[in-house]
Amino acid sequence: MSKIYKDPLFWIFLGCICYPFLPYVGNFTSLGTELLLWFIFTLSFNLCLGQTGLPSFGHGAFYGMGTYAAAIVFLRLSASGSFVLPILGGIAVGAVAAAFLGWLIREKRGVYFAMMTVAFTQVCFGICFRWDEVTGGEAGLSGISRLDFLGIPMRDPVTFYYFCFAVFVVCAIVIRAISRSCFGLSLQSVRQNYIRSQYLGYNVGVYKFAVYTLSGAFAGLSGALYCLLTQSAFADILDWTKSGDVVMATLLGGGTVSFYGPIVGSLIFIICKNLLSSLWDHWLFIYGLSFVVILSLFPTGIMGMFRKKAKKKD
Amino acid sequence: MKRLFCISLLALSFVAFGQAAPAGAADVLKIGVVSPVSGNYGDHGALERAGMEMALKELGGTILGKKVEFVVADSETNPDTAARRVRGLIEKDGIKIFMGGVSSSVGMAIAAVAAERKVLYIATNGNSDELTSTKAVRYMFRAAPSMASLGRAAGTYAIENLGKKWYFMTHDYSWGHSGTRWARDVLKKSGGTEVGEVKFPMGTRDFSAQLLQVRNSDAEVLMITCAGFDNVALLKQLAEYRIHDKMKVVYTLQEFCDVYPLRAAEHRGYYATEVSWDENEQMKAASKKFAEMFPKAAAPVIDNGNYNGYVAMMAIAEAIEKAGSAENVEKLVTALEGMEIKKNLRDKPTYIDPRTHQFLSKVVMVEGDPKGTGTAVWKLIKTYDAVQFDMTKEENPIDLTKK
Amino acid sequence: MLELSLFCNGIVLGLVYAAVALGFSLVLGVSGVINFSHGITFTFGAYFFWAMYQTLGWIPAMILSPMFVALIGFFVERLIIRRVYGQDPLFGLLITLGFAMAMEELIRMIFGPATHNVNAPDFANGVIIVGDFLYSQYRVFIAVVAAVMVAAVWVFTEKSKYGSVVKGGMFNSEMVGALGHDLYRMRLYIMVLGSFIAGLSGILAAPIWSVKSGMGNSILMPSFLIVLMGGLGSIPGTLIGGLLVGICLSMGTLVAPRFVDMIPYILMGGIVYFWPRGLMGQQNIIE
Repeated sequence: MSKIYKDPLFWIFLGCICYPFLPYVGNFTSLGTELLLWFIFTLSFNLCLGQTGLPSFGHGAFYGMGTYAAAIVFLRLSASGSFVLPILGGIAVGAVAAAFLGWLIREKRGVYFAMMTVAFTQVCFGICFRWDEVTGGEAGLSGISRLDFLGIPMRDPVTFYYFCFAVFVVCAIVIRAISRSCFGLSLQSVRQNYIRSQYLGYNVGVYKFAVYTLSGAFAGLSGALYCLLTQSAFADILDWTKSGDVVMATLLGGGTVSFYGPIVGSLIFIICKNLLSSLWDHWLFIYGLSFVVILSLFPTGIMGMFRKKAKKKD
Repeated sequence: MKRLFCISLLALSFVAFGQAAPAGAADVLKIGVVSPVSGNYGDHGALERAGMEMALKELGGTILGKKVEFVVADSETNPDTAARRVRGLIEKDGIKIFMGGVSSSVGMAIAAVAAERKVLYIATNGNSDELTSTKAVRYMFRAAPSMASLGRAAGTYAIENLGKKWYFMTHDYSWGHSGTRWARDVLKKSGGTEVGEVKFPMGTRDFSAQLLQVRNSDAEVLMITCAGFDNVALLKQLAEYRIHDKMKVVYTLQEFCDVYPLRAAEHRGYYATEVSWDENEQMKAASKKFAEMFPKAAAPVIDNGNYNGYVAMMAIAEAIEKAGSAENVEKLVTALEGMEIKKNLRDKPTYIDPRTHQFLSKVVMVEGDPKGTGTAVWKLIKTYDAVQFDMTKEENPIDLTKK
Repeated sequence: MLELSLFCNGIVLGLVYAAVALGFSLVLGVSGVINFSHGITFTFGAYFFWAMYQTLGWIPAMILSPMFVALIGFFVERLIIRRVYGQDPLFGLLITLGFAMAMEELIRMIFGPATHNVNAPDFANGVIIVGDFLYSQYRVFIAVVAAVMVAAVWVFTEKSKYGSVVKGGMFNSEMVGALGHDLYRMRLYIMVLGSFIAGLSGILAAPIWSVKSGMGNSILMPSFLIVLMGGLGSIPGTLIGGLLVGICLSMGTLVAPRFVDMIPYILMGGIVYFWPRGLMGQQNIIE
């Protein structure tokens, strides 16, 4: 029993449960929900970046496609109106798109891998921005509503927050289990020494393909939930700058050294962005500079900073 | 280090929340303004906010004795960010009235939030048809004329005065498509011929290939729908490739702030626009006043952006006075439906169509003046009533008065 | 006839793209840093030029303002880029991206957010008319300047002694360092040179686009794509990549005008899929 108190996830979950009841801060329910979705998204992204060393700059594509898939499933396919179907649609589309891309570029590495994913994202963005008949083009899709799920009305923002929380709990536990499993350890070996793991007989390409697909499915899931949160879908989230945000948040938190890095990173990233923009018109100046400062002083991010301290004490 | 970090984070959050904490004063009316502050469209955002501030100053800074305060949320010209900030303001400050939004997609994202949370939203500078047709919601009004009014005004002028063989240049997204669609509607009805169309993606900076194609055709009129930074580049390149010598250039929507920075020889062509600063004496006086108040604005006169901001603010003020308070959003919506805004700097008041929630005033045609200096970049040539060209009931069957 | 004029236009565009990508390519080749502040140096060039050209005249301003930009490049290398040598290239990408964001906002603070106008010089303000075909003189002018720029850098790396050190640095920087050449100084020089080229390209683009703070963003990705297409650290490769993109963009308006902006991405994807190091790439610093 005492072991559970040492588990950081337990404290993170506890914090999330209490969030809506916190004085004043708790009023930002939709921001809190978005944060939970970012947690899922960055955790899954970190399976690629931190675990396997895949610098994917195209994760926004899977997130965005999940959003669109959920919207289209809701508006066109589920005539009866279902809460779960759009989410499943988002997961499926995210996974399929990631599998397609992952298979094509499974042998690429480093910058080439990154740029292939950027190219993919930009092409997806271009298509979604222009295909008025299906994606609504610039005008986007709207008119999505949150229906009842198992008799629970999801329209209420707080209820939806707890639904997302439940999803987050499941995802976090699953993703951690994956990263600690045999499969996850093999992925680490791919990151640490690509060539040696090939010599050891691992089919590295297939491992990369598998983790990419998996990660895409989670990204699609968070995208679909985001669609339900905003009740609309727009092409702008497919732009590569969104994918860049995700990479920044993960690195800032220290995704390369710690499993919890992405959570810390996205927390600080989102809060800083929202705070700074309300303080000063030229907030982008501070925002950009703080990246330079933090990343050049602590190349391993915030968690890396703590890690180093802890090691010194030992 | 760890302790230092924690302390600084704590201090930061205290500063932030202390700053953001509701003032609690009952005699302050907060109005949310969602418009781009940073980023590439920052100047357009600043322009519309300047218009709102000018209107507020004319109102004496108060509505019904309550001091009005603008709470600005940076939309970053991104629909998702805009929606997030609006939801934040609703949850944090309990704001019930919003206006702003330079691009149509931002307007649509906020409209979705307005419908969900039941707050009033006046979209200022989105022209896409969807805002008042397929995406129309009861809680949203639109101050700018629809693309139908502008496109058909430009088309009607061109067909009557300039020529019957047209070539279209279209910015390739929903807004651009609707501009071309309505101009083409005029062309078809009057029996003209379409020589060709070239669609170019958003973010195009170099139009040499497209313009070579246009020049190669035998069209009499080049009908352009293009906006933003791309448009400034296009205006320069139209002059560079001497398109004006071969055909007449007509824009379905032009902004003063796009033409103003160019050199005189590049102000050529016929533009449909929402407002021209030399329309009447009232407008000229307001332009002068505006230039004095905001010497750094992108346009030193009344332009589309600040005019719509101005009218939106005036509409909100009149609606609150009519409804008696700013608390009940339903009452405000009912007050706005069918209202006439008298303080609109024009001789005829702006009418708000209760069926589509569209502000209906005027659409003007101007002709670029290649010799004009200073603010005289164009001359007014024709004024149309917006209602004459707006979407008809057959084209837009939506009816927001029915629940 | 139209096809021919579009093809010629494509070559002109391609030369300009190649020149813009050249600075990016040099820095990436020698230092292994993906310099996303390349776009902002481009913008700085245009802004400095706008501030100077009316008082100084076209040509003096065109020479002077890239020098200021080169000075910025010097400080960027000293303060920021130096910290990321030898690290994962993506790390450098993110740091320079953050820096570019801050600088873009700084430009808005200093020069204001509005668009500014720059006129073409008087000696290149007309048009060339050959029969049915019309072309702007200014485009020819920038194509010539771009070609001279590319050629000068090419001659420098191929013929001069220091150029061969630079070329060696692209191939194996550690070995060059071990042979007693000051690697850090070389990287600094190359960064300064790269900024100079970017600043000059910004000036050349200003009369066609007009000047705005976000103008650098639209060349950043294409120049990166061109470098990957041509092969890292290969100047002929960059030239070929640039020409390929220019011609495809120009001719593409005939075939698929709506999707021309995706052509560079698709080209890059296709080329890198079949030629993993780009068309003329060799083993390089970031592998």
